[in-house]
Amino acid sequence: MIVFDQVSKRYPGSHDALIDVSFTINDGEMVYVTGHSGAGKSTLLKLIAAIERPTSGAVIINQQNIAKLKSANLPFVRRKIGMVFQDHKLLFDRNCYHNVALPLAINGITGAEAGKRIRAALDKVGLLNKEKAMPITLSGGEQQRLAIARAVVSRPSILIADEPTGHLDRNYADDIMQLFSAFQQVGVTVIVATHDALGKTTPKNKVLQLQQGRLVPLEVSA
Amino acid sequence: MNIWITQHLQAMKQVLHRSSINAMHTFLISLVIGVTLALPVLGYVAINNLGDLTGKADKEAQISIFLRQDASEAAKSALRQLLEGNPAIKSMEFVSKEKALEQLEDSFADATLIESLQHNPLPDAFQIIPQTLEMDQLRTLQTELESMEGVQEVVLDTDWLNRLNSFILLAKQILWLITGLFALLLVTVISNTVRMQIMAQREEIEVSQLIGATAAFTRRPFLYLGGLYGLFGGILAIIIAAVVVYIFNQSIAPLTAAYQTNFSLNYPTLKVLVATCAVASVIGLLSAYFTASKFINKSMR
Repeated sequence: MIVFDQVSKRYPGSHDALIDVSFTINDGEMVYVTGHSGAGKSTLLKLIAAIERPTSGAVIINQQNIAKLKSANLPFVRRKIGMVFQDHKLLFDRNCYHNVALPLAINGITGAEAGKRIRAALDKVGLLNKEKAMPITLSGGEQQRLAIARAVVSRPSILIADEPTGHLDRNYADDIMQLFSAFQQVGVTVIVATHDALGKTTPKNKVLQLQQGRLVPLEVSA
Repeated sequence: MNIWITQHLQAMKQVLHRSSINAMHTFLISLVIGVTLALPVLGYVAINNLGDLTGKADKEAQISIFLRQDASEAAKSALRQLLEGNPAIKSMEFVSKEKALEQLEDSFADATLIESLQHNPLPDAFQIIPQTLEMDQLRTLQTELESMEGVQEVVLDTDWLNRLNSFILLAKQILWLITGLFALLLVTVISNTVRMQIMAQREEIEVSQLIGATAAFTRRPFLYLGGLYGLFGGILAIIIAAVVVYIFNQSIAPLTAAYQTNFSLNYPTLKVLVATCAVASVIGLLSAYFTASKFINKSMR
């Protein structure tokens, strides 16, 4: 479970990125975070991923308050969360297989066990035949899927994606969103930030709409 | 524990792999370290040889034992027996006051000066050559001799020995100073190299930290890198030093032959090799630790 209780975040020398945000996300939920760029979506995701800490308020992830954790303990929280970054953050000096291997190496998993998991993750995103390919040779959609494979390879209970369909055309974007739905169906909490109009969103999914750092009631667009 | 070992092996494998890909670069950096370390190693070898020289020199210390004017014949022979039985004494010679006077007469051109003396003012003496050249042991021996029956004064003739010892002491101090400076140079070289490697892997470090790598995990490969540079550098330093010693010995061979001695520099021993590699690795490790920590703390808020 993820709980935000009156969370504010201010970057030094900057405006408030988030102001007094409170919400709860239950295990296995699929949640969209929407809003214009600069509304605080990325900040919200970074707080959930324990990459940033709130300036005030409590961020509770799996019963741990991130605000109160020591810096040295943050990496262990991050490991339980799969993150798909806005700019992928793939490593272009190594092939697909070794990109996906990185989170496992951080968790101390190597060898045959790692190989099994890496191939399973690549298979899930449809890149099993590309394991030896360098990321630079992949298309935009494939790079996005590789980033997803890396995010899920250590089997996190929470999967976060920042604008995963931002640069993709409609078909690719639908593929990616279906992939996230598939993860949610097997029990993973999925949180996706998007500035797209939520055309195909099913009503059962929760939506967190941000406007200038504040959570606002969802406007149902025509 | 298992994970800890796995991660260490992983880091080591990663560094060895990277180093072997950039073998030429690794070799050049190690060579810089090797040359830097070779100079103190050579200094150590040279000073050690000099130290050996004082041990086996054909020069010897001399102790003169002057007896009291009123020492009895019995006391003299008792003393002679004591000296002969003392294992610290290599050889001894009794110089009677008459003989000493003769020697004194010989050294003066004008014998009448000596003849004008009413009586022989010189004491009987023993001239002894001790086994040792160690200053401390000589002092102990001197004290021991002074306490003996019938002994007036014990004079230690150690001027040349003092000079040599203080020269070696000075050389050792200079060597320490130089070693310190070169260690500083080593810290700079390794820190800089590690920093360059960190810059080359900046993206990997950033991503790793974002997905849960601890500071220790991020730092570990760089520690191995620093240690490895030190180790390779240490080995190269000994090889360089050995080559220099070989060339030196070759070129002084005609000279020593002319002087009919067989002086040559000793090669660095296994002990020196191990010590050099250990010191260099530790310096490499520490330099890498501080460089990497500084970067990691900055990149991780």
